[in-house]
Amino acid sequence: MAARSDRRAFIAAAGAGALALAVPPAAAALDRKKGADEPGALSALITAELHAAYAYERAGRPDLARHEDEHAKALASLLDALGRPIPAAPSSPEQLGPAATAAAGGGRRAALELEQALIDGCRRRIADVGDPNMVRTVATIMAGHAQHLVVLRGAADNEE
Amino acid sequence: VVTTRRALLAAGAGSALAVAGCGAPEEPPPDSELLAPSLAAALALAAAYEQRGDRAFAAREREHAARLRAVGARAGAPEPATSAHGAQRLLALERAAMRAHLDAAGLVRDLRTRALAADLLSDAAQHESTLLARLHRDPLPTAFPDGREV
Repeated sequence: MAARSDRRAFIAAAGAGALALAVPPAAAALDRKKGADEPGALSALITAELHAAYAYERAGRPDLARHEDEHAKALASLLDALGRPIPAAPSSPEQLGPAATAAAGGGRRAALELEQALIDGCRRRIADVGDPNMVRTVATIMAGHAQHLVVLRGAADNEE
Repeated sequence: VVTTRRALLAAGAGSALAVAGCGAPEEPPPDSELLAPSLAAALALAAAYEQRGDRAFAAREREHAARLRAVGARAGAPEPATSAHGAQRLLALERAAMRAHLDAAGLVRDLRTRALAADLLSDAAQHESTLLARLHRDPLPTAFPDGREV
């Protein structure tokens, strides 16, 4: 319970430590186009990250849970800047989707499937954002999940 | 929540001020130009992996280069500079590639090209993790792999 409260506080504080990507000045100043559905994309991605964080916490993977929390925080700072409400973190396992529910059980195969689902989500949603900083944030989050796959695959291989 | 939003907006304003001195927004170069550093990095990595006898990774980088050429990436950009040797050189080149892919992803106009840049960033990030593991270092040094040293 304490961990969940911490996460809410963490997400609520989003923005203070907004992602400091290396954005060239011209790109940062550029506002030439907006994505098709930036709030929708960010909300969906935040929800997925919060569910993954919850699942990894239950699965005893604090390292991965912390990364997903950081992803949610970065995305929440972007969504809040658009003046949109930030999705709530799950408060019970029943709220999780199938992939997160499976990963919460602790199996590495389920975690691999969850990470692949998170990558697929980023790949789909990156077309819906237009601001260069948002695009880069989603791209680095996708790359973070790709790295999780490498580590989880290594662990799964060692189990066999 | 109001306080949090105010703090956020203040932080956002700070960021905006940081770039306010840049003048009017400039139109970025063509996609072919934006992708040129990515192509140069992929070719440098292909050669470096080949030299180290890592044919699988070399082939992967040649595939990256082919995908970049297919979307019109300009050839001839300078190879990423690094004075490192061995596995450290590979790590430095992968990180240079990551920075190039990330820069391009934010600016390219074509959505399929944006997706390609994001895919190449993810691939390079995976190579980074593999190299870090080989060097007995943390393969997940940050939640946001962007090519910068953590």
